[in-house]
Amino acid sequence: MKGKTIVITSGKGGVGKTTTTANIGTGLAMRGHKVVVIDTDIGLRNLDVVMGLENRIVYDLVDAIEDRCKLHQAMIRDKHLPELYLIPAAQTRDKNCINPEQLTGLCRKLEQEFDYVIIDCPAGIEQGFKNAISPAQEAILVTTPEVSAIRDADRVIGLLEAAELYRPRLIINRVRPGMVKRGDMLDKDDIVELLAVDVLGMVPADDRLITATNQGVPVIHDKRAPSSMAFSRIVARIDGDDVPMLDLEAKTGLMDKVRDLMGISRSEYSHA
Amino acid sequence: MLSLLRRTMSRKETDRTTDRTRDYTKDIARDRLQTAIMRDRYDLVAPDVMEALRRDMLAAVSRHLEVGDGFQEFEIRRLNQSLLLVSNIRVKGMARWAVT
Ligand SMILES: Nc1ncnc2c1ncn2[C@@H]1O[C@H](COP(=O)(O)OP(=O)(O)O)[C@@H](O)[C@H]1O
Ligand SMILES: [Mg+2]
Repeated sequence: MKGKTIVITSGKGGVGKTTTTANIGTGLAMRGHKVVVIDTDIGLRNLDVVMGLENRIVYDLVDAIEDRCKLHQAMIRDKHLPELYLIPAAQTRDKNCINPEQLTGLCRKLEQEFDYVIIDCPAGIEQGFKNAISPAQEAILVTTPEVSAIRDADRVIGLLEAAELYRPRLIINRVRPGMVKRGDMLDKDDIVELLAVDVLGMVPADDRLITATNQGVPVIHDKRAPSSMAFSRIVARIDGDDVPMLDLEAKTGLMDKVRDLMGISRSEYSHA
Repeated sequence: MLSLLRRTMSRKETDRTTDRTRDYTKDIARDRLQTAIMRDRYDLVAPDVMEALRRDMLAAVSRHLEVGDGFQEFEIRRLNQSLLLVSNIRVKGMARWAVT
């Protein structure tokens, strides 16, 4: 059995790579797969806190690469899912302390044991990015519907293609359906036209994602959260299911209408 | 409550009419991105693309006109929102065509 390595990347920071990695990794494990997520943001690790595993770190990615520990000792088992593991980034080193060959070697080993190896890529297009993309057979690109993130995404698509990662799939994160409806936010079609890539899914801006992250629980566990439904659909697509794409819709219940009329901002959401 | 609702409803009406005339900011974003992305892509490949284009265009022109040693001018210029391909070539001669 041989697993697949997927890199989650973006160019721009703060668009949701780490959040996406945590939720895709968790979602695939919920579907019964053996999954390992790797934080390659050396010096700025975060995937551990997003997954609520920060207190369990003993060894990290660089320890494993530099043979200060066994690969298994650097893998932290998830609190909720026994088949989900995290390899945390080193916090006190920098991105130049590992190279693409080392990370690729490590992922090839992991692929023997896991169905999915998911890599959380650092922001930027320098060494850390080159390390993170080199082991991957597939790339998932995260963007927000904003000019700077989309422009950076175009640059990254070029770099991925140069590295023979063709046809990266796009996740549009932090979509505000109400703003899209008002014509104040780029929609899926605009972004597809600009970047000429396939869309893997859209994730709404969601307060419940923030409260879940505060608690160190990936939001996909919170079945009622709009972003949870969006991530579940994305995970199913990654796993090969043919899930139709729904437009994110602003929720327009009666109370929302009344609030809208009164000019009170409301939560905006979706079906994914 | 009812009067409040009516008031906000009428405000919504005027909002709607202004909505119809105002530019969607997403259209502004899309147009700006189109230009920025085109320029970024061009900047990255400029030397290679220009060399290949110069070769192909010279070959195409030479099939129809006698031209000498190439282009006097051959470059991409930035003009407001777009890129402009500017090329000049001196025509040295012309074959006699059978005109009916
Ligand atoms: N869909 C979303 N709704 C609300 N907040 C979000 C969403 N996606 C990400 N965030 C928040 O945005 C911030 C940046 O996300 P993160 O995953 O750390 O980005 P990156 O890894 O690309 O730098 C975090 O505070 C995260 O909680
Ligand atoms: Mg991150």
